[in-house]
Amino acid sequence: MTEEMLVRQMKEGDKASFDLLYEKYKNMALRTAYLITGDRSYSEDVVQDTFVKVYLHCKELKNDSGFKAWMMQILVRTAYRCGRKKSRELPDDEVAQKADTGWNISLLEQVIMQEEAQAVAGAVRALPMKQRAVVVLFYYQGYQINEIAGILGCLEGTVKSRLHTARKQLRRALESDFGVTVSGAL
Amino acid sequence: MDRKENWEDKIKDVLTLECDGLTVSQDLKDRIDEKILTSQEAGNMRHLSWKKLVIGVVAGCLLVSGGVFAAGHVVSVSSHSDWRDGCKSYSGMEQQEKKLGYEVDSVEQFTNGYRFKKAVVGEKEGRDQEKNQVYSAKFMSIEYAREAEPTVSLYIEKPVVDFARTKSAEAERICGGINLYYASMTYKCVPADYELTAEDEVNQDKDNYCISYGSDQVEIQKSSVVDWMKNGIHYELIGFDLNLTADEMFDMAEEIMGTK
Repeated sequence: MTEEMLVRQMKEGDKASFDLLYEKYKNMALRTAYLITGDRSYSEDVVQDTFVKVYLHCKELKNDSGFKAWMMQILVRTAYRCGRKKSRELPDDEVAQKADTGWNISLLEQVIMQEEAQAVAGAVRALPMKQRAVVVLFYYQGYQINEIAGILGCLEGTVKSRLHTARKQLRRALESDFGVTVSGAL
Repeated sequence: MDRKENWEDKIKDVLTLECDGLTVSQDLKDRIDEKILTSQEAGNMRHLSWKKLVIGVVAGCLLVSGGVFAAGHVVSVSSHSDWRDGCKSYSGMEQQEKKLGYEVDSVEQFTNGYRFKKAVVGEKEGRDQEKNQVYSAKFMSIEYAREAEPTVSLYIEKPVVDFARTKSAEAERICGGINLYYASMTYKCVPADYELTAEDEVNQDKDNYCISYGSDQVEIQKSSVVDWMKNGIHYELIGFDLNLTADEMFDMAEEIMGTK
């Protein structure tokens, strides 16, 4: 069954279709919420509120094929509300632990890359939430600028501006922490 | 690794590592289903009047919170009443008190012109995470009206658990050895897709400001509440957008207590 059919059936009140959509997107939603809020428990709250709103307001979705973007729109706005209420700092050891997975390299390289990863992660977390959301949607989710504008309900120019500012801050953070000279179009 | 060319790829890698392996907890779906159910019930009530819902359910938790809440046992509270079972004249209060099971303080008319309009006895219940009923209790709701002004409700119940005050009052008065507490709350009900303004973001950090999602349009109203406990019975005098000061509401409370 296609996602569009599931969405259509959910809009007709079929709870089982909602359950399937939840299964499909629950972890992706959690990870995105976590990256925006920076807090595990808050991100579960965000996912909870998001899926409750998805079910209760699914009839307001006009284009059934646009379910994921619509859900992301709800999730990001919910994350804004939840994430803004708390400090986004992660304990350093937690960052190090996360950065320590999946890198098949020498110990020295691993230490260097861990530090860099911490610096990047810290720089992303230090961004204002609206810039961080754009960074998460652009780099982690792989959305295009126009898609992000749709999700955030703002102009493409606003997304470009936030992304540009975020990139500058990330680059500045990397350069000051590691003397890394980063290049590329900003 | 070529840092010059890959710095933006590194962002994606780091973000992926940051949340790698994160999965939702086992009980999240249960919590979602529970909240959907509660919201649907609340939504049905909201079609009648979301203000009544606030009076009947939220207001009960606004100033005080029971031990079962603090212990985290109760995850949902619902209440229901049917005005067709109530009375529309003060002479019917005796019958309502019989339904409630105990006598309560009330007045037919306040000196400021508010008059008895109707009263009803309803039931309220709390459920735990497994949807088991943790408690149920009867309550009485009395409505007072003054010309075309917003109505004032008197919400009465015997707490089924030890209550502890969780919100600080904006004003207090002691009357006959009983403490009266005044508090206000601004509710902004907004549609599900509403995007918060900068002002909303500042406001929602305040203790007395609540943004609630799910209404058809943006609606802002301010509730005012005076509450007190007498002979083991909890009283809440509450209304929305009232033209009454805290002192005037304290005076009404004193009239209800029979000390004014």
